[in-house]
Amino acid sequence: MSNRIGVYVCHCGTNIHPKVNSPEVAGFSEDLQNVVVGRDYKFMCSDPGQDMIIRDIQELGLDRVVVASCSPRLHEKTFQNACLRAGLNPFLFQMTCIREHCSWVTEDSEEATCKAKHLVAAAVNRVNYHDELYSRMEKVHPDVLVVGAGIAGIQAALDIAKAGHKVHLVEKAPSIGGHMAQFDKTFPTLDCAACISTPKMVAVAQEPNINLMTWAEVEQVSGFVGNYQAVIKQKPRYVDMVKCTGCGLCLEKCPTKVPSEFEEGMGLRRAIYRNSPQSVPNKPVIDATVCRTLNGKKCGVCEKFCPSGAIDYEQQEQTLTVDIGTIVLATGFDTMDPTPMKQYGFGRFDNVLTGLQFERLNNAVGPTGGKIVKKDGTPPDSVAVIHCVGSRDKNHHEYCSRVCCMYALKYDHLIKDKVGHHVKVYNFYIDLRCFGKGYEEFLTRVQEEGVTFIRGRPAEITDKARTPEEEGKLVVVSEDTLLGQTVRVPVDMAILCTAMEPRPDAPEVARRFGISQGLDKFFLEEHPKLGPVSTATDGVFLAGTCQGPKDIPDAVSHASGAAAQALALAARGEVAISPTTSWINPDICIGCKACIGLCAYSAIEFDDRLRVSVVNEAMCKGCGSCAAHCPSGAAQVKHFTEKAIFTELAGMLAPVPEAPITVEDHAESPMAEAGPQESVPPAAETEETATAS
Amino acid sequence: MASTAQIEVRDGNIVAAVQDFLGKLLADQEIAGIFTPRQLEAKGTVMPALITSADKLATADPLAPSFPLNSARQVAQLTRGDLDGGLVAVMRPCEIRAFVELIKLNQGSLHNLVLVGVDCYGAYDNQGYRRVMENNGDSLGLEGSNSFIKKAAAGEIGAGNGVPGLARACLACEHPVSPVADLTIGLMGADLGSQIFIEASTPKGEGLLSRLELKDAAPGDARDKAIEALVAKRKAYRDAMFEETAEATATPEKLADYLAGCINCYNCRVACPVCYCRECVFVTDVFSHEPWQYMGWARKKGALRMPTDTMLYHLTRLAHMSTACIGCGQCSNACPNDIPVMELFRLGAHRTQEAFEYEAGRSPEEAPPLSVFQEKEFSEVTGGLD
Repeated sequence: MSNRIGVYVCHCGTNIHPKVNSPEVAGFSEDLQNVVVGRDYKFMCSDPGQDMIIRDIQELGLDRVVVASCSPRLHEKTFQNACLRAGLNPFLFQMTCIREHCSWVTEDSEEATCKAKHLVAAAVNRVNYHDELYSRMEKVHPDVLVVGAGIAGIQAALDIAKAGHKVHLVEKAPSIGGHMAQFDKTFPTLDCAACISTPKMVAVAQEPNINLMTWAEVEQVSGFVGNYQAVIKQKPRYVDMVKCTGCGLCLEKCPTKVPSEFEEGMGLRRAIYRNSPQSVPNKPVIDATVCRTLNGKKCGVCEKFCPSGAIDYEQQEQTLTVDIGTIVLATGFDTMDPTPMKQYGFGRFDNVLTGLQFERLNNAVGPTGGKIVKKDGTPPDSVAVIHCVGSRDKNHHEYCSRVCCMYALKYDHLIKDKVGHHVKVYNFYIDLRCFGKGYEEFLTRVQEEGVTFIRGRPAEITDKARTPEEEGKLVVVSEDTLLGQTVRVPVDMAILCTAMEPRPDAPEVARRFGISQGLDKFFLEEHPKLGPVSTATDGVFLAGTCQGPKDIPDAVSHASGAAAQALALAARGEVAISPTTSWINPDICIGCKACIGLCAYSAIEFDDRLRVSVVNEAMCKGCGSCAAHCPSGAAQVKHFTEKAIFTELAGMLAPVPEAPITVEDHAESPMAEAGPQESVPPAAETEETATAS
Repeated sequence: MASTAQIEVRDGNIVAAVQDFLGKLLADQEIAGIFTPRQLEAKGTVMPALITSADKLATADPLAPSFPLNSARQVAQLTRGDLDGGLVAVMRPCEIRAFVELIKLNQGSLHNLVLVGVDCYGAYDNQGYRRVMENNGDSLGLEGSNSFIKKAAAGEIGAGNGVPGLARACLACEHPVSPVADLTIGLMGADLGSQIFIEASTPKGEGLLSRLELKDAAPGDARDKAIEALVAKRKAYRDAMFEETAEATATPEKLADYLAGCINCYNCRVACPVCYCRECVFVTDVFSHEPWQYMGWARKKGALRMPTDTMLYHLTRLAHMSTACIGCGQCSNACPNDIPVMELFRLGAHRTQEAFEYEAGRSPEEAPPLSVFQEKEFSEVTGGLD
C-alpha cells in the first residue's frame, strides 16, 4: 500500500511568501508521488496551522507529514508534537527549511520558488522511508560530580547539595576557592573577597551532601547521561587529613622555601604549605618536588614538630570510582603570562605587575600585608593601569576578557584610597566596558576621584628617559587616540590587565569529558544564547569561566544555571534517550572496527564473540561518522538511513516542471479565510528577534 | 641487513627448487601447513591450496603464470582465528599487499603466519592463460612454469615473442617484490640455472630461515639492479596507462561511454580482494527502486538506460576502496565484457593514495586514511582554516 503524505507550505508571515510562492509550491507538491494533499498557510506553527495538519491526519488518513517552513531547529518539535497529538508517530514527519535556506538567501523570486520545490520534492521522497521510532527512558543516578572548586564550582555544589543531592566536588589544588581566594576587594561594591567567599567555602566543608576531594583530579570518565562513572585520582598529601588539626606549626619549621604560586611569585612558601590560614581545608600539603625528606635528603622537621603525628611520608596515590548521573565542569581559567609581550617589560622591570600580582599586593594577608608598595618598599607616586593586555588583540586573544575594565577601575580606586589621593593614576584603555549592575556608577565614581583615562594601547614601557622627569621612572609610551598624538607618561608602577585564557590542559579535559572547545579554546556550550551551560554531551554542564571569561556575578549565575540543569536531570530520575542513534546490523557488519576508531563519543564496542561492532545507544549521539564510513551500510543512523538519504538526494536532483502550476489546482486551505491572520501570534518571529542579538 | 640463503636449482627445474624449499618449511616443527598455488589435474588449472602433507607439495607451483584470483581473502579467512598450528602463505606481492589492507580492516592477522613472497614477473590474465594453454595442447604444468620464468627473466614474454602479453595490471605493477613478506623467494638477479635466493626481511623470517640451515648466499647488487630496471619499465608503462585512462574518462559523458558495456554483474567487486563487505550496499534495498521511480526518470530524459545506477556503482566502489586498491587487476580479469576497470580503478587509487600520502599494502602499521582524524588536512579544501 502506498503512503499518504500531506505537504504543508508555510508563508511565515511575509518571511517566506511572496519571495517563495508558497501556494505554487503547495500545488507542485500535490503532483508528487504519494502526496494526498498540499496546502499553504500564513503561519503553519500557529494553533490554526497545527490544527489543519491534525485534522488532515485524522480525516484524510495521512500517514506521513512534510512541513516546509523555517529551520527544524526552531519548530521541528512543534510539528512533531502536532503529529503526536493526531496519533501519528512523530518520526513519520519531515521538515524542510524554505526560509533560512531559501527565501532569506535568494534574491530572485522565481529561483527561490524553484529551490523550494526541489526541497519539498526531496522531503517528500525521503519521508516515504521514515520508520516509526520511539524514545527510550534511562534512569539517572542522583549524584552529581562537580569538577573544580573555584567560586563557580562552589556555587554549583552548594546549590545541588541544598536540593538534597549528593555532590562529589573535586579540586586539583590543595584547597578550594580558586582565583577568587587570591583577590582582595571585588568590584563594584568593594566588599572583600574573603568576606563573601569564605562563608561559602566553609559551607562546602560542612555540607553533609558534599564529598569534598581536594588535591584530586578526575582521571577518566565513562558511561552516558544519567550513568557516568568517574575515576578520581587522590594525590598523596603526605598529611593525614584526620589527624592534622591545621595548627600550622609545620609551616613555620619547614626549612625549604620556594616562590609561592598563590602569591603569584611575589612571596615565598615552604615545602609544606597552605595558601592561607583561611584555606578550606586548612590542612597543609607537602610539595613532593621540593621537600627534602621526600627527595632523599635529611630533614623530617615537620614530622618531628607535628604535635598530632599527622605527617605521613609514605602516603600513596589512590584512585576511587564514583557513580554519578551528571557532571558540572567548573575548571576555571588562567591569566595570560605577559612575558612574551616584551614591549611591556614584564619580568624585566621590577615594578611592572600583572593584575593578579597587584591583587596579592593589595591583599591584607598578601606578601606586603596589604600595602601597595614598589619592589623597594616605598609607595608609588604614579601608577599606569594598562587595559586589554592580550585581550582584543589579534596576536593573542581576539575576545574581550570582560573583567579587566572593571578591575582596573577597582585598582584605580584602591590606589587612591590606600596610597593617597596625590597618587597619579593613568588608565590606558581601548573602550570602557562597564555593562553590569552598578558598573557604570562605579566608573563615574572613579572618574570623580581624579583618575586619568588615556584612550590608546601603549606601544611600550621603557626605562630609557628622555627628560629629567622621566629619570628613574617607567615611561609608558602610547598614542592618545582622542588627542591624536603620542604621549609619554612616566610612572613608578605599571599594572598589566592580562587576558583571561583557557587552562593549558583544556584540550585534555575536553577529551576526557567528551566535550568540545570553541575557536577561543574555552569549552563550547551547546548554544551561545539558548544553551549556555549545556554541552553537546548530554549530562555534562559548564559553570563559570571554563566556558569563557566572566566576572564573579556572571560566574555565579552561570554556576547556578549549571546546577539547575544537573538537578533537572537528577530530580526527574530518568532521561529520554533520542532514538535517532546509529545501529549496526550484525548480519551485515564484517567487524572491521573502523567505526570504533571514528566514534567521537566512544559509543561503539566490539563483540568478540560475534565479531561485530555494537552501538551503545545511550552514548550514541547519532552524528553519523560511523555510517558515513561504513561501506556496506551495516552502520546506519536511524531516521537517516541510506535509503532515506539517497531518495532525498534523488528528489533534490530531479528537475521540477518549469511552467508554474496554476494556483487554483491545489486544495484550498480551509483556513485561508479564517480570521484576521495578522492576529496570529508569529511565535517564530518573537523568538528569533529575541535571540538574534 | 636482511640475510639471504640459496636453494640449488637442479636440471633447470626452478619449480622443483621452490618445492624443495617449501618441503623444508613444512618439515619445521612450528609449521603445520603451507598455503600455496598448486597445479590441479583439471585442465591445467592453478588454484591455491592449504597443504599439510609433504607428498602433496609435488604439485605446488607458486611460479605458474596463472592468476585466477587474489588469494588475500583466503589467507584472511585462515588467519582470523585460531588455526591450530603455524601457517606459511606463499603469495604474490600484490596478494600480500591486499592482505595487509585486510589486516588493517580486522579481517586477517599476522599471528601464527609466515608470509612468503615470490618475486613476481607478472601473470597472464585468464584469457591470455587460456590462449597459452591452447597453444600447448591444453597443458602447461610445472614445465610450463619453468619455461615461463626463464622467458620472463630474459624479457621474452609478449606479442613480439609469439606469446600473449601479460595482464595489463602486471605490466603496470611497480611492486614486483614484497617489502612486507617475512621470507622472499628471490628469482630476480639470480642465476636461475643454478640457484634461487631465499631472503629474510623480518625477525620472524630470520628465525625461521636460521632453523632451515640453508646455504648462505650473497646476491650482490645484481638483484637490486634487476629489480630496479623492471620497476622503471613498469612505472613508465603505468604512467602511460594513467594518461590514456584519464583522457578516456575525462568527462561524465566519456566515463559513461567507458562503462557503457557494464551489466551490473558486480563481478569486479566479487573478484576484488579489498572489497571486504559482507553485503554490498548495491544489493540492498537502497538501490531497489519503486517502479514509478523508473518511469519518472525515464520521463525526465525520454530514455533511461537499464540497468540503472551503473556509473554510481563504479563511483561508489571507487570511493569505498580506492584508498585500499593494490592494483592486482582481478577486477578486469573478472569482467565478462572486457571493460578496462583495472585501469580506471588504479588511476583513481593512485591519485587518492597520493593525496593522503598513503600507499595501500605498504605496511600493516599504516592506518587507512579515512580511519584517522587529522586536525590539519587539505586546508585548500577546508577553506584554509587550521
